[in-house]
Amino acid sequence: MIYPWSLPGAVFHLGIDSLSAAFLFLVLVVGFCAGIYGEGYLSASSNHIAKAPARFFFAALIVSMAFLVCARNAVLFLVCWEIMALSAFGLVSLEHQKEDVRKAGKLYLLCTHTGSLCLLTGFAFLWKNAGSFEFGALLAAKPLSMFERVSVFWLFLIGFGMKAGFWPLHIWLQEAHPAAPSHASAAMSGIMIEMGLYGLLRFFSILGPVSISTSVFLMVLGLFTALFGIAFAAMQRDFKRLLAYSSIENIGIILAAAGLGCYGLARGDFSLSLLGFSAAILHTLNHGFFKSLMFLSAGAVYLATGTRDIESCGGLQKIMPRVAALTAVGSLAICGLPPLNGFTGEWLLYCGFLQMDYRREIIFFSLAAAMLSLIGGFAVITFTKFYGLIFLGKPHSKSAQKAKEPSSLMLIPMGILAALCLLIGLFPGWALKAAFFAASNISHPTPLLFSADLQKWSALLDLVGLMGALLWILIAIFWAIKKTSLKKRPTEAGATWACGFTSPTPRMQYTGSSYSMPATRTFDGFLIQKESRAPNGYWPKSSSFHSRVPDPALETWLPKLLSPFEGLIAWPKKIQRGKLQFYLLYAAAFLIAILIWKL
Amino acid sequence: METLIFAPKILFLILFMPPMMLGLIAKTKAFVAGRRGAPVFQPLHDTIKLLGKGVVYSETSGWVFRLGPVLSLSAVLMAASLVPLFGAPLISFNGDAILFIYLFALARFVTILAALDTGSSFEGMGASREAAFSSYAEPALILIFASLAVHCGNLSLKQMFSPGQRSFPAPSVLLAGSGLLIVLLAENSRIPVDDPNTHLELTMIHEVMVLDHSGPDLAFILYGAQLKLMLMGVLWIRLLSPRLASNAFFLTLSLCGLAIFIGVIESSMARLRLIRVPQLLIAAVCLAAFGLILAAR
Repeated sequence: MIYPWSLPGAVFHLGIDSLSAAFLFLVLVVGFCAGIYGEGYLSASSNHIAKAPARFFFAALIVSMAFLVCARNAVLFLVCWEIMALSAFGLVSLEHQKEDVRKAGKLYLLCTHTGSLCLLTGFAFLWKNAGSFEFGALLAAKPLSMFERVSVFWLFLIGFGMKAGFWPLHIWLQEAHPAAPSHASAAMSGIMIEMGLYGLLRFFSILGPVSISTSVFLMVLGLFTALFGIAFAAMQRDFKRLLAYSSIENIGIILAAAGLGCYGLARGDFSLSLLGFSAAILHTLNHGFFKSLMFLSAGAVYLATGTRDIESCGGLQKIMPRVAALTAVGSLAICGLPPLNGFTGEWLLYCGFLQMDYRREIIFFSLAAAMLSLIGGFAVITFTKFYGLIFLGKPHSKSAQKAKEPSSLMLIPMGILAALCLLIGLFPGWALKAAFFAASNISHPTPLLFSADLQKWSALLDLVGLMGALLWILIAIFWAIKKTSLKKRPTEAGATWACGFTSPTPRMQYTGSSYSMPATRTFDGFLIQKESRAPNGYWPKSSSFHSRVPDPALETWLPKLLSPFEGLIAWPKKIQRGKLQFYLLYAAAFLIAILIWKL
Repeated sequence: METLIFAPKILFLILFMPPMMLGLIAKTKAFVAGRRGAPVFQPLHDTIKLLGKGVVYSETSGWVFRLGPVLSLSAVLMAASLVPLFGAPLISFNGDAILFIYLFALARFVTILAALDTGSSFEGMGASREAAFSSYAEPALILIFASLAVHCGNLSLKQMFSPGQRSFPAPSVLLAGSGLLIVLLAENSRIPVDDPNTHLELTMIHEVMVLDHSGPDLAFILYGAQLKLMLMGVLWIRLLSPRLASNAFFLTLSLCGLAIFIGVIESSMARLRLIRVPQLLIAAVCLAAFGLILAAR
């Protein structure tokens, strides 16, 4: 679809190839589910969320993303990008009465515009080379010079990475996601940050193959992002913040897979690059489904209990059984455990890492695989904590006792997403096919190689799916065995064994912070800040203990990085008076200056 | 005709060998301590007896607690179908080694959730330790598998543990083998990581997680844990020398030998302090990494 457009260099050019189609599917499915859920969420939440702006910004976000993945013109792409960024800002600052929400909104706006600036500059480089903003022309243009290539690569990595949340550009993510209403966080975390990856994947094909060292850098950056994200997720108390950090983890895994794809391209090994890129796209799809499911259930819990603190929930399994069951599916999927969809993408990535023919790098790739499994182990810690502390045991607080099941308007979209997680886990071959076609757009294999590889990997993944089906059958068999053996025997109810103590109370349950302590003890002191006033003396006065986990990138390094620039900003600050008269004066002065210049 | 002989052997190994290994470990420990000890078949007897009993469920717990043992046993049995015992495994494909590791992770995930479902702080404590320690053990296992995959260029357990591989005296195998032994002891809650016979709930890891299970649930969990020990034992034996597992008889003998070896280890040392356990596991990761470097050379 091509329509002329009056903007300079712009053509309203839309097109769909397999890469766009994969992301479009994701945008539409998650957008649909989150949108329907949003209606239920808004009507159930008390009046402090303005409903009309919430609907408007949400619709604008989804529509702009749908256009973004279909855009075939750089100006159109940037316009959609900006609409997406701004409508997300609108969603983040919906509850602007709260101080921390305003802060998160400002931080997000600053970050996204820094990213947009980088993108704009990057596209300017490309335009200078090709003389057009059409993607086709950019692809067909003469190769960029070394300087241009390096600058465009870094500009795009920062620009798209800011949106995707690569370490250390993730700083806005863990602040903005908890601030937005849950259906908006689902859309932002499930699809919007993945638009950054879409951009990277799309422009890898324009930049041409990157060097081996760059692709190794991408893999290391991805794995580091993932490890960092999940380690921080394990330490969080706010469950939406926990999910936001887990998004950083998943983005890191996807980046590592994309780096593997780039490595394959750099080596001229098309099978490997196809494998890497399709693992990236498959994990992107999976992440979109399970992460939005998790955010939706987090929203349901928040709505029911009025708290985002893991330690004040508990026991919701009996109060909200449907939400609990759906969240269980999401938790299993997000840890990458079989037989759910999260496993398929990670399995593909492991296979890519461990089946190398290049002896020199085999140690690096094996260490990468080991790192991936460490990340998986931390994910298990994080999400057993998430699920166990929110849904299991007994309610830790009064507000958790008063919770109730959400409306079916909220449950059905969650059900759809959970069903997708189950289905992709059982029939991964279909999802793999979509991912392979999408990846072929980036790695350009020969048709023969493509069909051979597709056949090989989809046969293997189908076996993984078959194993999943067998697992379900085994579970059913053992469940039946257990039920029949218990039919004639007594089933008694008793109190939990508390080592002889007869009246345990909910307050005696293990807390989330102590649950994740053995794993995160390594970070004590330099990531976890503790303030304690221990009781001392014979007649101790009041004592307290408080621990927090500040993000070092946001709270330590960013101020250090920015402090030299403070002097520079001081001057323009003087012009900004905050009075309308002054701004009118500036506009008039500007107009007169232009008139004089033209004369 | 061949399957007629093959099937009973497999069934014997899968059903009777796991409890017998546990019995042998206990017997060895008793022998070293100068006691007579329980019969070797005591664990098997216990499991069968538990299957015929009723259950007590805590009022706090819900369906996660009831489903947990079923799910974890299914996952371990599924993993068993991937392991080459003395012949080919039931199912084998390129990449099944990853599935093997993740099935154990699934079993762990549901066991942890079942423990948290009781709302007991002791079980939460055990769950937290299990989750933390296993996240260090998994990378070691991946590295060991990677060092085997270097040679055969294939990620299936059948190929990786086939007779064509390097065996015992090779230094890479020695390093990988010692790494795998540590992982085996840690993942199956053995001394020096965990003491299954300790009397204090506060110091347990795996045992404390299943305090509240009873009847068939407990039977499933006990059998699942025993099977897991045997599966990792089979991998360890095949890693040292695939020839030890060339037929069912040799495999049974070597598994018995392994059980006695574990018994000797358990009687000769005390459990490590909990703070030291991650260090031991990181040592396993390092051993596996060095083994990999030697293997890739």
